[in-house]
Amino acid sequence: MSALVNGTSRKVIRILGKDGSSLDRLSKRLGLSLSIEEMKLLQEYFAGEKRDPTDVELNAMAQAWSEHCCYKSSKFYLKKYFRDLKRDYVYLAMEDDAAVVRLDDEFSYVLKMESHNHPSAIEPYGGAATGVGGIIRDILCMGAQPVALVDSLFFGAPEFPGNRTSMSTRSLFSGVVAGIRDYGNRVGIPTVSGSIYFHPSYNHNPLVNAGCLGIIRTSNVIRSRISKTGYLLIIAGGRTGRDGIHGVNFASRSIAHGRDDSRSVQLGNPIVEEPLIHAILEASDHGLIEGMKDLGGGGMSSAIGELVHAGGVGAKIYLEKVLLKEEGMLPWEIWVSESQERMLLAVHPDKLGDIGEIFRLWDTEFSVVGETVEGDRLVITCDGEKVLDLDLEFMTSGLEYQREAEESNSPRKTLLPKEPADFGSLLISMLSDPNIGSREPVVRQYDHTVRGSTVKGPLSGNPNIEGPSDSSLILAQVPSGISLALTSGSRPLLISADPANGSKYCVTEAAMNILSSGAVPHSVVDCLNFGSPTDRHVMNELIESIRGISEACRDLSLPVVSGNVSLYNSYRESHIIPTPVIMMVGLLDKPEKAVRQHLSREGKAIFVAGNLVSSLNGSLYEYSRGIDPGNIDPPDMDEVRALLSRIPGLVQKGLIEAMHDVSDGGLATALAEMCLGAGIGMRVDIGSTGYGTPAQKMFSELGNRMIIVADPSNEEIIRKGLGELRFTRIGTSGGRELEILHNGVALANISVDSIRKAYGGALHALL
Amino acid sequence: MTVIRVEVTYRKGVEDPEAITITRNMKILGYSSIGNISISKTYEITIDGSEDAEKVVREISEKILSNPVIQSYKILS
Repeated sequence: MSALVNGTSRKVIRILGKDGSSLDRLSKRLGLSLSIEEMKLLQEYFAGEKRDPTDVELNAMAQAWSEHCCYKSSKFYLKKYFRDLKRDYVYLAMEDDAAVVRLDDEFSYVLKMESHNHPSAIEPYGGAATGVGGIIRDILCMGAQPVALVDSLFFGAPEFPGNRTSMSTRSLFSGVVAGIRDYGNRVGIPTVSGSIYFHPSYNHNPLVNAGCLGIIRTSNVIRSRISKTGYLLIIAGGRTGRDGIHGVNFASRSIAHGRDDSRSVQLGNPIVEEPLIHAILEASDHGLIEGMKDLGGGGMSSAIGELVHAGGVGAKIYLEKVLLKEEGMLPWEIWVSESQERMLLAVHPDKLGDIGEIFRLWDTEFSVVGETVEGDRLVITCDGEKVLDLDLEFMTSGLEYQREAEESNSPRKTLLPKEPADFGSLLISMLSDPNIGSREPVVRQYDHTVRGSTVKGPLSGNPNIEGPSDSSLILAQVPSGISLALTSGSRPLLISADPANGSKYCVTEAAMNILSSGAVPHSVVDCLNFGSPTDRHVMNELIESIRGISEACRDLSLPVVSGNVSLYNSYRESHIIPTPVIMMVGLLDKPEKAVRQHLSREGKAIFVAGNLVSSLNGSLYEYSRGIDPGNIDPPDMDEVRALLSRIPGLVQKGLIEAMHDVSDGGLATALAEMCLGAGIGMRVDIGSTGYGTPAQKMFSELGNRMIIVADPSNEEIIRKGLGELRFTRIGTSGGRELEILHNGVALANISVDSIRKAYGGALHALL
Repeated sequence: MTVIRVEVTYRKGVEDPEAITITRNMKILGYSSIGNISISKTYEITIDGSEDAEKVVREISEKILSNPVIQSYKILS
């Protein structure tokens, strides 16, 4: 394969003097996805330069102004609501490719989450795999060792059969899971946590959000910028090909043509990424890298532009030096290609020999593609011919919109559903719901123990009969012995009912999941998935959701350290329900204090901490009856704060044997899940958990309730430790049945075996 | 009874990690003259009757045997 671009050259594209409609036609014909107004801005700029742009310049600008690269619809609100949420232990938030947060005196953790929704809709296997590969490189480019992956997945209705433009839920689901499995397992980073959710609004727009956590010695952090001139710009790892051209432009509009957009799909090769990780970390250990970025959405164009502009220098690039997968690629194709497994490094010329030796040792290809220069312009040549000459400020600063927003005024009714006739069979049917049931058929495909630092994985219980785990724990393998708790997920039904309050619940649930493992929440990453921002109601959902996340994080003193926005998740005129995903990291100083979610012994006391919210709004119970969610009141943040400040002390004293938070499916589902891990049942009376109907007590998903299992003799110490919090003993573990009573009247009595059968089979039909 | 063979290959420009790995290993083993290796999969389909045979094979090739985003197929005989 030749590294040269043979006989191809730039094309000048006439835009000066053209009217709006011909500019619009041009944007469509070249696949730029730019609006008329944006094309006019370009026209204005090039009028100032007194020339027409080249094809390379137009494509570079289309990429720089895409929603994916410059967050044009969301930037204003992200700044407004997240800027002042910093804590002093956060070293880098929202600045570089990933966030850096203090772990102890010597080490930091690095984290980031990104969406890979549009590619996964077209090619689920490749799209999901490259989502994993990309997020690993985001962590790697800070110089950190990736240690754990999480992924939150959202699919259409399980029975959706697909149509001419969209794949069936079954194909998408199995393809995405296989992609994550094959990339994560082969590259040797454990996939430890995440979520899976089904709803018809995702039928044509599945969501694949991948997150990664890394560990780094703080003094070794490599910034995503280069501020010195005379440094070499190197691209290492995979070669550049035609795969993934216009990927980010494609992500900035709705899916209309379905699978015809195949050129926007990138394919992954974990066998290239694995040695690349080693090579980069070794070069970083030797202090050979001055600045680094990964090549993700936007390819070289956005990576090089941002790297040099952030440092205040210019750059010269020689496109003929880029290693290519195939011959005959045009300059603009090389410049905007989103081929995978590539890293951009700024290296001092004296260190080229040393870094070259490391790359050769790891069998990793690289080439010097340019250098940093004085000034603020980016100049690209190809075989001596100038193909791009742009002002970096203009190229990378991007646009910022405050689009119109309007609250949806569809009336909300609060209906009180009828009490069920048979609580037992209802509970069984809820446990077998694809949104509740066991994730084991998926989780078992992921290697969650590779690297040997997984203290607690995605399952909790004895081998082969495990139940779910609320969050995973990863040993940081640093001298202080600290471990990190990880969780990620969303509450789409609550958020679709009330974007602000639902998003608050999204944050509190993540915090409760971290707390269930005994850890203390420490930092938050958000991945905001919404419909088209040109729809006012969607824009309102986005703004309200950001506000909700911001307020909840402020109430809990949690910093939002990094984030990602994915818009245009729509098909024809219908949008996905608003889906902000919250990835949260917590700290636990001693891994041996980790708390599990399952009942491991008989004769233990079962308590509920926190108040009942006697409303079924936004619950699966209502949803499965076809009732639209009514009003959602905000979570009681004082109560969450009290739980977060008081429970960790009890964990440190070893007083808590198991914990599980009440969320999807309500208290009854949570209790049933706790019976699975050791096959031990329980007898509980939920009458005294608050004021409400038996159905509300069993199935309400609101509030902040934690089920706590402890030795009966410790009841008073725990009650004292929890202070003013409502704390009710509801029963005792034992037997092989889950027996639920309400003020002495039996509501349900189901065997642990029947729970296992219903819960365990929920996803089998889909894989 | 008709026998139809279908060949499924990656589209031009799509990277095949397996082929790249084999090519690289051949070079390590000293076969320096090898430039490129590509891999394809051939299905030999025995089908009752002959009237609709090609139509059926075409349909399953499009829908099931190949992923049109990254692969193309060719009916060989």
